[in-house]
Amino acid sequence: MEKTKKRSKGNRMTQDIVFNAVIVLLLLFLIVIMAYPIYFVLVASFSDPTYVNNGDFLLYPKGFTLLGYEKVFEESRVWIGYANTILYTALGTALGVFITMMAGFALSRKELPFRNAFMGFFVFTMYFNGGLIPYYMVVKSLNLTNTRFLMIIISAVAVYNIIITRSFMLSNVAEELRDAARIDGCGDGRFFFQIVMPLSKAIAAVLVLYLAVTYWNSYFNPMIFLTDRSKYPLALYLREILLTVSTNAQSSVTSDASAAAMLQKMSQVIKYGIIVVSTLPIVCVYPFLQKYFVKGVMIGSIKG
Amino acid sequence: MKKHMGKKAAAFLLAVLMLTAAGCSGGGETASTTGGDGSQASTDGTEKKTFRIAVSLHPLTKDEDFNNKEIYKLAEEATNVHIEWMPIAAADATDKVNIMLTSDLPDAFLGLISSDQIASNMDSFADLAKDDLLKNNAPHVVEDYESSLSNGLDIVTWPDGSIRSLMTGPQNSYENDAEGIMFMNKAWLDKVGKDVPTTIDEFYDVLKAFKEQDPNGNGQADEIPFEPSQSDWCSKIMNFANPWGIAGTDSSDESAYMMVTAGKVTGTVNTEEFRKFLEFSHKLVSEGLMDQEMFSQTSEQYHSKINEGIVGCYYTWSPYADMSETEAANWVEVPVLEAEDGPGYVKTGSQGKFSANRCGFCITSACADPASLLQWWDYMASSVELKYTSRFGPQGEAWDMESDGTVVEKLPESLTDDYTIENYKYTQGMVDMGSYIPKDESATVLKENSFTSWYRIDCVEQLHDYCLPVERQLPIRYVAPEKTSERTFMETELFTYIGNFIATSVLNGIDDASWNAHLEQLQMNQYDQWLQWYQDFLDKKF
Repeated sequence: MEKTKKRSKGNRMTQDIVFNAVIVLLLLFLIVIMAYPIYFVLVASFSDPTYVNNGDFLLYPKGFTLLGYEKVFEESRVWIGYANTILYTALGTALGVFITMMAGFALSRKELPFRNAFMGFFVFTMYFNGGLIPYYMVVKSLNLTNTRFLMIIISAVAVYNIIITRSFMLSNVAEELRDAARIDGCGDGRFFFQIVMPLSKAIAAVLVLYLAVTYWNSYFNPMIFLTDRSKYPLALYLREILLTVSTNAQSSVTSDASAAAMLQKMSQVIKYGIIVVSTLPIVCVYPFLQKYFVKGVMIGSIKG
Repeated sequence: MKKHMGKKAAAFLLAVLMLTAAGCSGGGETASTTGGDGSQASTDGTEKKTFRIAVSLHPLTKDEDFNNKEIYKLAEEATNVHIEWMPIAAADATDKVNIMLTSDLPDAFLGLISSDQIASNMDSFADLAKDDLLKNNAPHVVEDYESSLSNGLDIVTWPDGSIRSLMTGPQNSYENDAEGIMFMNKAWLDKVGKDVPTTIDEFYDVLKAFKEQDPNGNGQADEIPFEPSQSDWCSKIMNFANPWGIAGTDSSDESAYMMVTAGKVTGTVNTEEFRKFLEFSHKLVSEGLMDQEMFSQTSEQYHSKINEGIVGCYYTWSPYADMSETEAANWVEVPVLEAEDGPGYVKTGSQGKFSANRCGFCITSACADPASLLQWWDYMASSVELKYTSRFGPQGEAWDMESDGTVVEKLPESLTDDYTIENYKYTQGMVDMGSYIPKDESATVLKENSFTSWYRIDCVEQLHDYCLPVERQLPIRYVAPEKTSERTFMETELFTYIGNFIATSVLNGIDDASWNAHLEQLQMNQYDQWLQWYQDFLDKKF
């Protein structure tokens, strides 16, 4: 009796160990799948391009070189792009969070007249839009093309963000709070800034992350709307450098093969370095916001 | 606590306010700079005319302000025309230009427009033939076209009689005539004791020796004797059909799908020669003599193989464009490869190939004063010196003029490792986006000034006679847009089919059944109609 009990306990122990081991292995496998490409880019940025293209290395840099980074930091365009990206990201995110919070709050209040109509109107734009050319013409007729102001406001409002903010406010900012505040003589503006905002830090963090990433990565709008290259964000330069070779290989039928070859070399050296340089800041910010992030999205998602 | 919160809120509001203010000033600034067909007063009292030109930005240029180029300084001084440049990188060009064409036209485009874009947006471009606009305002340009081309202005005239664009770049560049050339590893040839092959059978023997005798001496059988690649513009598989008398006028595979012989357009991919070429290629692949990754590899993979020292022969512009000078010196040209059962060797490429860009400079319908802009453009074509200044920058640096009036390319003294001759040309000049340069004003390249360019020309000379002569090339002229779309409609399916057929045949081989099925498929994919289209074009039926 004693013995069998012990044995079954031992069995359970081994079962647990096996179970845990399998889970850990699976997770490790997943981590490798997801992290390796990032690691590869990092290692490739320190390696001789020839080895990279041969697929000659797996875990550590081969033919170690800092040439890529030297070239990246030599390019004045990279610095200009960096400054622009930071400007657009910082101001755009601030503006976006502010507007989205206000919209989300207003739409979550039952006393707002026509709130369903407003919501329907917002959601409509998620399914239908005018297309690129009407979009461009609207922006142009507002005299906003080729301005930094446009780059700041253009991605500030996303309906998706408004919806998650609204859901969050619905469940976290009770109507009763409003009543209590009103009895104490608190107006709408004060209620929003002094009560709602502090209560909504979690969702604000989510918005900051969403918006900041959107702004940091955005290349299409700047590409379409900016003509002045000194206003270009980093992502656009990155794209230019990455696409240079392929477009040139196709069009180089008009002579100048030596120019094409030189470009090829240049972009091979610079390619991975610039990817690292341009993604590193956002990767660094991510872990600090992540704790709010998970919390915020979950809270927002419970009530639809 | 309350007070504290109030401060925070106030600070936040202030931040937003500042943000809006900053935005406004940003907007205002651009309004004042772009608000212009505006004119600014120049020093001599006359009004300076300002035009906006969208221009293709070459990645090798080190200065993005086009007004710093010598040629545009001279042109502004001489014609009182000021240009506001809108540089557009090649990577963004397609998206951006298409948007511009539909909703935001600049005064002109330089180096960004294709003939298809003109065809489908005809009204977006000013008609320079109307009211003799071109003849009255650009006499030098007209003179250059008429003296250097048999059909004169017709080369840029559309079937409706309009002229929508002007040419840029040199009429001919001899080194372009031969497209990709086969080069072979001379060090390997010496090791296996063979000469440069001249027939397909000798070629086969050489490849076999490369494969078996370990010419790179590392003890491994890692040699790739023959390395074509679909990834690069001049290394495509149809180059290797040359020994069987099949060649295109340019290095794309598609241009070799038909040929002009004695005024007739004939198919190539339905001939016995084509089949022999496929069978021989398959033989090479199946014996490991030709790289079977040629259809799938990327340009990066291809180039790293070449630089790894495992390739025996390949097609390229010049080995000097692919590797270091000491390594490139190990390679030798393979000018001719005859197939004994073929109709004779023909080289991919065109003798006297027309290399100017017919849609280089396009004035749009948004331009309020095309006459002045034409005068500005004409000024840059008014002398050989100015043409070359627009091509390569100031005289005496990357080019100079001999006492007999011929132009010679040179190496400027300001070059460094980070500022090569390519950087120099694209920074100081416009290269192929400069003024049109007729054939008899072509620059010469001296061996001592630019060895690599000279070497390429020397290589072209060895096989120039085998390139397609003028009578075997299609004439160059515009056709009506609907005719073009009729052809491209056929090409979509046809080219995909032929491309796939070549790949499967080379990799898997071919027998009577699959060959007959291929002939049927060609019929179904309108191969005959496609050939007829070119026949009609040749016969000037449209």
